Amino acid sequence: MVCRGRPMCLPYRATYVAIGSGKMEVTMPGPKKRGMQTVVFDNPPILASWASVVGPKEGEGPWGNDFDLIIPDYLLGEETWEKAENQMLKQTVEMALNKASLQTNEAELLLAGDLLNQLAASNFAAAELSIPFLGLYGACSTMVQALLTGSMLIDGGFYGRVVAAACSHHYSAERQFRFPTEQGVQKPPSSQWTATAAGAVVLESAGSGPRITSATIGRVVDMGQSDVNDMGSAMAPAAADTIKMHLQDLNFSPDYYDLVVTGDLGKVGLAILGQLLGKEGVVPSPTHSDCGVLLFDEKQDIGAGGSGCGCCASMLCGPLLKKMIKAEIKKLLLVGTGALMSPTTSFQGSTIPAIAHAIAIEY
Amino acid sequence: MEIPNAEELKQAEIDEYNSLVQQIKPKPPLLKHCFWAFVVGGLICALAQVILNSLQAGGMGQTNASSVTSVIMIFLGALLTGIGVYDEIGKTAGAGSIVPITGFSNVIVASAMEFKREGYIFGVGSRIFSIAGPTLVFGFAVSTLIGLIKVLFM
Amino acid sequence: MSLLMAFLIGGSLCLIGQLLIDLTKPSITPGHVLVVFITAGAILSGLGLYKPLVDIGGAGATIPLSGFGHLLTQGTLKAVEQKGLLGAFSGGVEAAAAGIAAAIIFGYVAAVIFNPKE
Repeated sequence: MVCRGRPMCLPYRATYVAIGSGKMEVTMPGPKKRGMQTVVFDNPPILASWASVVGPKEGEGPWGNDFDLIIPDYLLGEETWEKAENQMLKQTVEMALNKASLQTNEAELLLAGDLLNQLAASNFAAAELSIPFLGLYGACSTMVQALLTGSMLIDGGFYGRVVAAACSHHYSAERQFRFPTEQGVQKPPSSQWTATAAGAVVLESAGSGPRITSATIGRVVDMGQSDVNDMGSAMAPAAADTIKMHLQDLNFSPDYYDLVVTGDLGKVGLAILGQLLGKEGVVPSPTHSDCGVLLFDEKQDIGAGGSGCGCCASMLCGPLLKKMIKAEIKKLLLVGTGALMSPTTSFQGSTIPAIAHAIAIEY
Repeated sequence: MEIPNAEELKQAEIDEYNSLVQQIKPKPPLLKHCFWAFVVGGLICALAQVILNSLQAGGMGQTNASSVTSVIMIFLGALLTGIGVYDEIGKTAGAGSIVPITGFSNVIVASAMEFKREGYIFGVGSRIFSIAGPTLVFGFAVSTLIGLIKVLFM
Repeated sequence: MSLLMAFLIGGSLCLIGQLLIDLTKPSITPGHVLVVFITAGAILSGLGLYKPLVDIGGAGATIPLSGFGHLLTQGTLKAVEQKGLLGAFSGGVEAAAAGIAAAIIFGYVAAVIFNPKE
């Protein structure tokens, strides 16, 4: 037996997969791993409670009433956008815990992330919350990354309760990645509006509620896109790759889920995703959509749609879970998408690599 | 048959993806942009001309009048940026608001306003030229070079 | 008449800027276009080609950033005639002094008084 030109003694459960130009890849699945990239939970973690907080613009969108709180302005009484963002995240986590009648010291573990350099918002929120904390960066896929990591920690028997949260703030993100607020900038139609929003979920090992049944961790995919005003084109291939692997690993047909929702591909990315999945014959049915497209109304002047960690987090913890509780959606696949560039690499002319992670929620 | 190596395959994939992206990606509304750039840019320059004419009619010499006009336009750009109007103009006007000297003023003031939260010395002080800097660097570099060329030929 | 010419010439220069922004690769940002404008203005001025535009267009040629490049070059050339080599270095800055000082002062004052609006 040969693997990558070297003879090998192969363990009993090794799986062989041929990839493209004749290369073989050997995967060693653990007891909970299926196929190449998916994990299945023996004891699906429960979403015990959740909360979503959004900014004024998001509150004026089509789902205003489905969020727990719409903040009245972008500063929240603080001096800087960054401080407002960390207050938003802190309040969202506290709200989610309150809904499950829990104190913050009963939270056990916090997994959170945001878009700011060095995870500023999450670090300062965690400092105030005083919960054991792991900061995560997955750009706009952070919420799904937090949920799947929390699920693995719970299903693996390490924790009985984990809080997963993510947030973003339009003005702090613009300031870091793009331009100062008052600069006259003409945005191209493919650009997206970073949402001011936060979402938090309390995951538990037992109880009743929607369950996370499986998760697929994505690979970083770089298809040579370098337009920072068009994240959708950069992220669509990663989303396609992860959705395809998820369905393949679990041997599901494309109509297994009632709804497949990506994080923030926006109009352009969503259209491209449809084409890419169509070529592979795995276009999800009955329908697939995108949180960035859903979050805002066309009339709100948001280019191709919303974006940011908070986009996906708030849509999940607001409208989507509400629909699941009302039994309008029974099986949901949430695919968080993240564009993994930094302002430095963009200036240096690098392309934008992207990643997508998927979690399956069933009720 | 020559088997393409991994790099060539990857490049072919990327090229194919690029053509898909170009098909789907919306193009900017060029005519609308050009129209507004022309109109707003023209109006800003016409306003400056009015100011220039009045100063010269008041007896000021050409060079001084030109300088004072520039300073007044820079002031107007700064004011409109401060009250939060210039970015609204810029959304529609595009180059019509970026190319005139008011646009130069706008980027300077916008940066200064944004970064004052990082302090008045290093926040405002170091960020004030973060976007306008390149234009000054190149302007000075090229004009000095031209001057040096003239010195050589003198 | 001077108003009309200022409008037309100024508008046209901004139109060229818009075409450069919209028709070039996304990596060519408006900031790059401004650098092109000031450089082009400086070079054309050195070749004696920008002055005719100023004669026709007045503010329409001096207000766009290419006019600032023209100002820098003319200042440098005049200073070279008067001071020789030293003038090559001092001329541009002297000519642009008022504008740059104004930008700095107004920028700082605006930062103190105003806050970024949502």
